[in-house]
Amino acid sequence: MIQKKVCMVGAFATGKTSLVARFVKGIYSDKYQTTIGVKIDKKLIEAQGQTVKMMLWDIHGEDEFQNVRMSYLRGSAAYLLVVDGTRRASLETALNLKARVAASIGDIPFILVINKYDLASEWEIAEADMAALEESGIELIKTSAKTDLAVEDCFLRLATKLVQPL
Amino acid sequence: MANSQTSSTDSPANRRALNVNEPNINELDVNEPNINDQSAKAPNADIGSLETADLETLRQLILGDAIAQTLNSSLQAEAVSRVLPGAIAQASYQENELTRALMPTIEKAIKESVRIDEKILAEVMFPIIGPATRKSIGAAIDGLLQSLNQTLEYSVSAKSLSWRWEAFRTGKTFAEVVMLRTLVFQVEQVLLIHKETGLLLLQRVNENVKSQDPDLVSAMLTAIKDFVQDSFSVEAGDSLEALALGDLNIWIEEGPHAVLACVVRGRAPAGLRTLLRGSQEKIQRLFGEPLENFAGDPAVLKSSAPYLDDCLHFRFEGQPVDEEKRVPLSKGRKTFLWAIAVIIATAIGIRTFLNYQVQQNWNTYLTDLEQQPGLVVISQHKQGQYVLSGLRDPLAVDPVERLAIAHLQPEQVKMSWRPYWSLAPELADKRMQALLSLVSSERENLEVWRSRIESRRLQFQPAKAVPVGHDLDLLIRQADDIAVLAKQASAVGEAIEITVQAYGDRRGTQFSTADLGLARASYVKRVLVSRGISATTIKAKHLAFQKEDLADLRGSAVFKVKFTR
Repeated sequence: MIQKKVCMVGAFATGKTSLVARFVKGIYSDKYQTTIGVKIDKKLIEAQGQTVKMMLWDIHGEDEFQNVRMSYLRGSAAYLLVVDGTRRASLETALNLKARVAASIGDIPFILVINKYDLASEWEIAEADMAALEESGIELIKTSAKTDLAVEDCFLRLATKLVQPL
Repeated sequence: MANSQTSSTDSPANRRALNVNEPNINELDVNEPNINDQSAKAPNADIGSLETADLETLRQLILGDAIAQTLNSSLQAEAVSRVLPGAIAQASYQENELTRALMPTIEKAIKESVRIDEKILAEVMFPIIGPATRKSIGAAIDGLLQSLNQTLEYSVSAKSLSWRWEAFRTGKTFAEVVMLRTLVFQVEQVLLIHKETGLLLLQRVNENVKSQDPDLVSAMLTAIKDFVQDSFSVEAGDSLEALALGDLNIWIEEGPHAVLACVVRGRAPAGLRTLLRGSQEKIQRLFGEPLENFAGDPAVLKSSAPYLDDCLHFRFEGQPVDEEKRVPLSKGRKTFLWAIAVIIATAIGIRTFLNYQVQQNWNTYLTDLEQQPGLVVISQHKQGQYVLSGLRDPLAVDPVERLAIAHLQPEQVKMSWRPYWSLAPELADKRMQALLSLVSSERENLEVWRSRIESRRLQFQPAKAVPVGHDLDLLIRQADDIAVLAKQASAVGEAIEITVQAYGDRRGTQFSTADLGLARASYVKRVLVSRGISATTIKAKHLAFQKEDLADLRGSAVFKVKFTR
């Protein structure tokens, strides 16, 4: 069994904590609770016939008051870049964060997670935008922590990226 | 100590040196595969000796000058590399010339290495610096402990006496016992954490401790460490060394690639920190490479468990772990202990006997008091000394004096008595006698007054019936004294009778002097009556002057007192 540190990165209120809660504990709450600092959870996951112990670092969201501390990402094997589909600004924040991560800890695998698909009608990110992102080589997945859409899938895909080099 | 030094010389530094050499050998292999091939070289040499000139010509024709030169220089480098180790070894037996020659180059190389990446040298130095520093600090602390020991020797208190006793009993130094008694702690768990990822590498927990998920603890501890380091401007290289929460302490020892965290309940001695540091250094030395290249599989660090166990089972030197580990007593010490026990037992015996005797005396005293008329004991108890309270007739015997009969000292008893009148016949008699003696003394008192009154003499001016000045004052004082006497006499059932005898003057006829004397006596009587003395008790008389009387009685008045029932 191998262990990997995986971070949840994104703008504030994009659903990072909800995704982790849904994935680890299978629960969802509509109540918004802002994360201060970092919350840590773990989950064992099977990928490519290997068991991976994922240590999930749910890092506080980036907002106008506080920047994500890159020191929390140090040693991370991969990360989920979480975007709120209903807020276009959160995508820009995410891409900005992606650049900062690459600059401070290098190119590590990540998946762009566009969350809140249960509110698809209110989405501000068009299909064309997503297609363009995918074309640029970014792996993208649409999820809903509320309806449990593709939550496990996104973590599983990330785990697959982690065991591939072995 | 000797072992650790040996192992330290054959690890990372040497390994690194090998790694540095390897690429050069590879380069040679690629450029000139034939040169390294021994089997191919021997026939070449034979051929060379036979037709050197032809081969040289051929080589120049095929390869041209430039390539030939490169080959030559490569050949020379290769040849030098073969003789270089031997040459250096030989040179080191001779003078210091080689050392001097190499010194600038080596210094430059070290400087350059530090300039490019200080971490490499820091990692090499890490296992050496720790022990060296500890050794010198250890010596300093030993000295400090010694002086602490001396200071403690002089302090005397109940606690220090009991610790002193324990030190004596167990054969430890006093300072050790003090440290031991003030340091109560338990190492609950030890975690080895990968520094960069915060992933748990290994955990050792004490059996009776309930621990949280160590994976989460490791990650969170790393996050906290990062947070502290980021949030406060700290010196580069400084890191969080301890967390304290009530009596729970987390001691953190950070190495280049791993973090050793020790969860301690209670106050641990500084020795644990030294052990942690030592374990950290050993782990770094033995597992430096797997730690550096850690890819998520903690199994590679499994064999570091003994170093964690060392920390987990750490106890302050001399802390009693098990009964059988206690220092056995020597024969001399045993005899001494017996002697002390006998002395203590004897002392206790004597004390008990004395206490018993005093109690017997007390009982005797109480029995004695009961038999004394006019003394009633109401309560008695023992509170350090004996405390007694009761009633006492003023005529009863002095209870303090009775103490001597029971062989008790006054300071052994605290008494409080309230006065009362006893009806015991002995005391009633005593009281009666006392009253009688009082009466007789009153009578004596009356006599004193009488003689005082009778000794006074009033002097009149010639031919005057009224005294003046001093004599008038005297008369008034006399009147007041007579009034007091009358009152005191009536108190003991007596009445008084006053006779005022006045004399006439020397001159004059017999009748005229008699009239004057009577007038004088009457005046005195009037004054006495005016001062509150009953007129019926006063007789005013004229006394005719007789020849045998003293001459100076003339012109005066005197008083006579008579008691009547």
